Amino acid sequence: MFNYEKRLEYPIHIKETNPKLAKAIITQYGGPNGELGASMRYLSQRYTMPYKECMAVLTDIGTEELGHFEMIATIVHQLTRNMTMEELKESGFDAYYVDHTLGLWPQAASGEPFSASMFQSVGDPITDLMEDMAAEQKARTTYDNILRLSADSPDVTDAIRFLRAREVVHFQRFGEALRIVQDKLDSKNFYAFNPAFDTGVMKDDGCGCE
Amino acid sequence: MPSYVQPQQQRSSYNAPSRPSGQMSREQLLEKITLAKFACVDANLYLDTHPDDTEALRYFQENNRIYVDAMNEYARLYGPLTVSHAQYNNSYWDWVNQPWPWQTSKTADGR
Repeated sequence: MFNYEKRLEYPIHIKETNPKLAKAIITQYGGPNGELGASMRYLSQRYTMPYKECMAVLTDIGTEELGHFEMIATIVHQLTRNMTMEELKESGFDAYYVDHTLGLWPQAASGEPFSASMFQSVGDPITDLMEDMAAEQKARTTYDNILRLSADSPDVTDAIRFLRAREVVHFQRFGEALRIVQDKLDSKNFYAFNPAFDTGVMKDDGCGCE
Repeated sequence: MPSYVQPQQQRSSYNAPSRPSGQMSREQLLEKITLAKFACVDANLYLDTHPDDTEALRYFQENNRIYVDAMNEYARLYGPLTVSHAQYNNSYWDWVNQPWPWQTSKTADGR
């Protein structure tokens, strides 16, 4: 069940208009390394995680990513809401504007629409957690790239730095979750079976639910 | 506890309201909520993979108490930040009121 809090996880106050920057930053709204993909990835993977700590961490990080999705939307919105037609044409934002005006639509900077192909939910805890660790590094690199592009806009870089720091923390948490999974498996062969599928041979994790 | 978790830092919004009546401004109270809740979120993720860490648990509970009280106070003074906090206005569904979170910065979007 999802609830909503009427505030941003981290404050954003952008006073400038910069549609060129918005064209790049929108990639974290609907692009391959972006927040929507991250959220959907983690929220999708949690159902078949065999261990309660993994269900918890995927649920909670997936939820936090929705808050980040909102922050990216806010950044793009604030950078474009006061555009003049000249700024619009000069920046190349007209290609997006013609289909979406100033509306937010999940796409990559390239224009590629958001798609479930941008993430995976494989149904094997080791594979999924490896995917998640890679996803956090991809996001971190993308934020590094955005920081270089937005170096002249401190209002923007402040928020981006927060988002980048959270990716590093999430990477840490997924690493710990992977360690928990490995601890519960046969240390001589982690791949002996898939604990998310071969439920008959799953070690009891003490949750009492089976 | 992970090393990046700092003990509560001294910030004006945590301790000292600036108005003579003792009431915090909207911005101060929102800052208090943002800080306390962020401490909770960070501790929450850590506890998910370290549920036995009682020190982290205590840290979470301290900050959660500050957060819960501040949310109620904000709702009483300035309006609800969740639908569940829409308890104090008997004549209007003030949940719909602005500003919504993306409307920061004074611009032409109706604030």
